Order: sequence, then structure tokens, then C-alpha cells
Amino acid sequence: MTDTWQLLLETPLVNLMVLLSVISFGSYGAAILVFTVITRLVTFPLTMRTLRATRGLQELQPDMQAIQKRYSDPKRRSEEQMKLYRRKTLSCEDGGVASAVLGYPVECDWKGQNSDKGELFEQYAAHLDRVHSVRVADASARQLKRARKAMSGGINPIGCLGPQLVQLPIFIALFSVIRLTLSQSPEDILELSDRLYDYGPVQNAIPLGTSFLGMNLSANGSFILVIVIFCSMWLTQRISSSRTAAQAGSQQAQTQQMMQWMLPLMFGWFAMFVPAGLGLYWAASTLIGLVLQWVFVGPGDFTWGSLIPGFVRTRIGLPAEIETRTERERRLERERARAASGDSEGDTDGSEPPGTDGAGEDGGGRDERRGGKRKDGRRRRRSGSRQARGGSRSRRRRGNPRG
Amino acid sequence: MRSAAWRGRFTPLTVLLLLLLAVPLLIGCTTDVDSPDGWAGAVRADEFTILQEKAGELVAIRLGGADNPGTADIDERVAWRFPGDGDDVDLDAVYASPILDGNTLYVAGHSGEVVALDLTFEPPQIVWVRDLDENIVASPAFDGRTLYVGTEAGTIVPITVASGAVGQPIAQAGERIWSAVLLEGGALYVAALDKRVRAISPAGGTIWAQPTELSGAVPGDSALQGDLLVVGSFDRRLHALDAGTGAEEWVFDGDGWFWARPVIAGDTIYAASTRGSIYALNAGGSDASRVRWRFNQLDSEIRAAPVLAGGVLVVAAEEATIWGIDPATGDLRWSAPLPGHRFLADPLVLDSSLIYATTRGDLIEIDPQSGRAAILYERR
Repeated sequence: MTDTWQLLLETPLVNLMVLLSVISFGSYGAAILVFTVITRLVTFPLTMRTLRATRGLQELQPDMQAIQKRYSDPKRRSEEQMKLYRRKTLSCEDGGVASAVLGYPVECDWKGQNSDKGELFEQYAAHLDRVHSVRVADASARQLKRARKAMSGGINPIGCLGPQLVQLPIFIALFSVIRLTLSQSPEDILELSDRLYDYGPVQNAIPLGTSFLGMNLSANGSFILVIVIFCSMWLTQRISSSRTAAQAGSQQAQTQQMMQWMLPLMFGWFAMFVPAGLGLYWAASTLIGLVLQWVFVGPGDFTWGSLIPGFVRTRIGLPAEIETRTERERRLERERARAASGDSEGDTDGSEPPGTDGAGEDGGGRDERRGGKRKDGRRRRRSGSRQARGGSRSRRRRGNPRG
Repeated sequence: MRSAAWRGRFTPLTVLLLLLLAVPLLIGCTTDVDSPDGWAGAVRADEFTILQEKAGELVAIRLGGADNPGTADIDERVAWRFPGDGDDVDLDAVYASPILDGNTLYVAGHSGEVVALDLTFEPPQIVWVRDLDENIVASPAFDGRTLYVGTEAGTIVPITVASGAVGQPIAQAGERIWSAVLLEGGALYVAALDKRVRAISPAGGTIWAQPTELSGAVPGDSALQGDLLVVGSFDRRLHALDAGTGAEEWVFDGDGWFWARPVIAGDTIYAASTRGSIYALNAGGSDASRVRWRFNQLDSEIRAAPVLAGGVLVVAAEEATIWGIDPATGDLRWSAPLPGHRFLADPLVLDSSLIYATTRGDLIEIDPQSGRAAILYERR
């Protein structure tokens, strides 16, 4: 087992790191950074799945809260939540079946949601038959397969675990690789001789330089890296928790608060006892993850101003309480609603009932209720699940008042 | 109510504390970065054989008189251990071969401490201790008055043994020096991990320095005979240099690193690689570096220097076997499997036997003629 582990993962990684060091002009620190970027690129599809799951969960928050309010029975609540997780979206824009069969573009005028894939597709087929006189049965098996595959949505609430588990062996292997390649004792370097491939540049690169930006990568506990790891992980957790609308004082909020401090503290503490090379990998990986999260999921309710403590804010003349992004959007929405209708309707955000299965033949019930139609009577061409699911962030950003 | 409050308020904190405690413990079980063990060879001083028993600790064993020393009472045979309880010395680990001069033993520890021990006392008395503030792996050179100690800072530090006075460093290599400093004909030959070989004067001037670096670092001891300086390298090559000028005379490409000190015997060079190959090469002439024979039945690294003893080339592979090879033909004469033992230290060559110190602090005697092995001392 150990031999297999070494043969398949550890030894190739050792050679890769040494080769990257050669390519990086003998800088092992630069090699670690390059490796981090490569790892992030290789696992990018998995990362995207995680981020999509995160974003999906974020968008389901209003519906989740509505379910929690509506159903007191835990079993029923759990069932409804699972339905919500499984809910798929399909629009003619995704499917393309009609276009494929007819040979010319068909106006996108349908969107449906259902936790049963088969039912959802049947609804779409019925719509095509009724409105466009297109018989889906005439489509080829390949076209049908493509159309079914186009169903988007469906969230695995623990979807983020898979990618993490896949990365775990790489991480463990990297731990021993960095330990092995950075070690400066003659015994450990002798051990390397058995691990290096018969490739001149790799063999000749030994021993590797361990100095990078004033740090000794083989020494434990680089203070700078501990700070970087702590701050980047704290910020990641802070942004993540800002997306979920946990009520203050609730169990979820307490858990979020705990995780926001616990994970950075744990990894910061961990970084004190491992070679700085491994700390460099963590720091770089966390920073890249932070950037990816910001770019692909967004900052949620996070604002940079929220990092300034209240007592400092009052001293420099800022309001002590921070208005979150959501709060600001809600306030603006209320103000617009008042301005438009003349009366105060109150905030209904998050209190709407959750989307239900089988949105009907034209599947656009929710959009219709929320003013999803254009002035010309056609629906929006946006097919993203955010709009259909009542995840109103984007709509609110555009300033569309409800009602 | 209290239970709920406890769970609500203190469980995360408890979990956090447990994790914080568990992580260093976990790492402590898995990491051993920079934990040197040392591989100093044994040294004979009258009736004692001195070896590193465990990292940074020397033990002196009485060997004479026992018919079957392997079964003799260990406690009776241990003369002393160093450092003792009252000795304010931390050697960390010992890689450099200790040097015996009369009744004084000089030991250079990986910690950078160099110690002179008076062996006329039992346990030995410390004559002096000098801390060079730099790690030491290379075996020092000794001219009877001065020790020349190569350090991991790339310096050669002279120490006058009579007084223990530490002089100014007389060389500055760009990298660590792991290769033993050779002293011959008024020149110190220094090979370092900066891929260069230098000849320097003990007084401090450079006699020659290679204008271009080798393609690999030099980790192991070099061999010198006459004008021929043979240097093994991480570039899997054996480099033969003119000791007078530093000019490269020939290069031999092997299959692995050359870390073990080569043997120069007449017109033949014996060299062992970390891939377990042993080569016999022509040392000079028109067909210099030509392979006379190659022995590669060893599936193990070779770090300990091969030696010619009793007409047999004896090679200790790291993993548990010592081999006797015919130096003329490369045929296997005998092999001595010694399960559980690892050999990294150079052997001590006696009149009719070789003594190996193993990595776990045992002493093994080998008869080079027959390959008979006897465990002289087994660490508890």
C-alpha cells in the first residue's frame, strides 16, 4: 500500500516539484507557487462545482427560510428541503430540441422547474407540441439526450465535500513531498536519491534552495505565513457566512461565528508546526480560493467597511452599525416602492412561499407573479435559475420593484 | 438547562482546543524535518571502540577478551558514554569521523560544537569545547596541530588543538560543505554543494578554484592519490581532477549519485553509486574512465565507503547486506545478510577485519576473507 502510494502519487509529485524548481530558476518557493496554481487549475472543475453548490444554496436561502417558517414538522420540513435541493430547471433556451427538429430557431417562451427530471421534460415536450406543433418524439435520440442533459440546477447540499475529498490525497502527498524535498539533513537527501527519476535536470537540482522572500522554507512556523493564512481563511469564512441569511443569535449564526474563527485559528496553529513551504502552499491556495469565490460567487453581504470595528468607526465619524448589502438593497427597494405607489407596502423579501414542483405547462408561474414578462408580452430570455427561484439579488440590483 | 447551556456555549470551544492540541500531536507523529541522526564511523582507541550509539551520543565499548562478544553482558562492556550527565555539550548528531590523536579524541557534532576529549580518564574529560555556530557534516582534516573544520556555512574554520583557539575562517564556499576536507601536500581540498572544488592553502590563500562549476553538487568524500583527485557528485558523474591545477581530466557517467568515497588502488578506481552499482574504472592512461567491470546486484543505496581489505572489495549496502567482491573480476566472493541493520557509516579498517557501526548504534565485525559477520555490540 505504501509502495503504491509512493509510486503513484508521492514520487511523481517529488519529481514534479523538483522540476518546477529547476524551471523557476532554482527557487523552490516559486515552484510551490507554480504548483499551487497548477493544482488550482486542475481542480478548477471541482472548485466550480463547489462554488455552484454554494451559490445555489445561497439562492435557495429565501425559500429555505420560508419552508422553515411554514412547516413545523421536522420530517415534512426535511422533505420539502430535499425537494428544493433536487429541483431542476429547463428552458427552451437550454434544451434546443425544437430548434434541432425544426431546423430554425424557436423563440424561447418556456421555463419549467421540477424535482423530477422526467416530468420536467414531459412538460417541455407538451409545450412544444401545443405551441409550436413540434413533436419531440421525432427528434433523434442524441438530440433528446442533449436536451435532457441541459437541465440545470439541482443542488447537492454536501456537494462541496466531494471536491475537498478528491484534493485530500494530493494535500497529504504534498505534505510528505515538501517535507522530503525541503529537508536539509543528509539522511533525507539520501532518501531522495531513490525517488528521483533518471532525468538529468531533476537529479542535478539537488539540493534545493530553501530560501524564499526572506523565509527559510524548511523551517517551521513562519510568522508571516501564519498571519496570511489566518487572515485569508478568516476573510473566506467571513464572506461565506455573509451569504447565508442566518438570524442573529440563531444556532446557525452561532455555528457560522464559530467556524469563522475556528478554521483560521486551527490552520494558523497548524502552520506553526509545519515547514514554511507547506504554509506557503496553504497561503497561496487560500488566497486563490478567496479570489475564485469572490469572482464566481460574489461577496454576498460582505463589505470592506464591516472590517472596521464599531468603536473605530464612531471615532472617524462613520455610523457605528454597518448596513449590509442586502439591508441596503432592501431599504432602496422599500424607498422605490414608496415612491412608486405612494403607500408603504413593507418588505416581503424572503417571506414568499417556496417554489413548488410542476410549475405548470408554461412553467412560468413564478416569473409571471414577479413581473417576469416584458412589456411586449414575451418572457425574459434569461434562463438562469436565480430569476426563476426568487433569488432576487440580481433583480433588486437592477432596481426592479416588486408588485 | 445547565446541560443545554454547556453544550451551547462551551462545546465549540472544547472542540477547538482539542483540535489545537491534536494537530501538533498529529504532526509530531508524521514529520521529521531536519532531524539528523548522523553516520559517523567507529574509531578504535586502545581497548575501546568508540561509536555513535544514538544521535549525538558516543559510547565506548570494550571489545577484547570475549570469546563470543555478541552475547556478553552489554553493561559490563560499555566503558563510558558521552556526553555524560554533567557534560554541558550538545552534539545533536555526529556525521564527521572522530579523529584520534594520541589520547585525545576530537569530535565535531552537527550542532557546530567541536569537542576535545582526554581519553586517559574514564569517563573522558573535556579538554575544550568550541561552538562554531554552524552545522558540521564534513569530517575535518588534521595536520597534528590544527583541525580544519568544514561547516554548512561553506567555511573552513581552523582550530588549534593545543589551546582550542578558533582562527578566522580561511575559505568561503557558496554552499554547505559535506565532503571531508582533505589535507595533502600543503593544500586543503574542499568540495562543496555549490558544485565547485577548490584547493586552498591552510594559511588562507586560494591555490586553485574550478572556473566552471560541475553539473552537480558534491555531497560525499573525495579520494586523492598523487595528482589524481576523484570527486563524486549528484550529477551521477565521477569527476577526475588534476590535484595540482583543478583541471578536469575525465568524467565518468554512472547510474546514480556518487556519495560514497571512491577507492583509488593503483590504476583502478572503485566507486559505488546510490543506485547500488559498483564500478571498477581505469584511473589513468589512454583508456581512463573505461569500465573494467560493473557489479549491480545490490538493490540498495550505497553511502558507506567501499574498502579494499584482504584482497577483497567490501561494500556495505544501506539495506542490510555486506558484499565481498573480487576486485579484479567483479565476481561476488560472499555476501553477509544482516537483516534489520542499515549501513551508512564508513567502516573502521583493522588488521584482519572491518568494523561497521550501524544506524541504530550496533557494531558489526566482518572478516573480509570469509564474509563471516559477528555482532560485537547491540544497542539495547
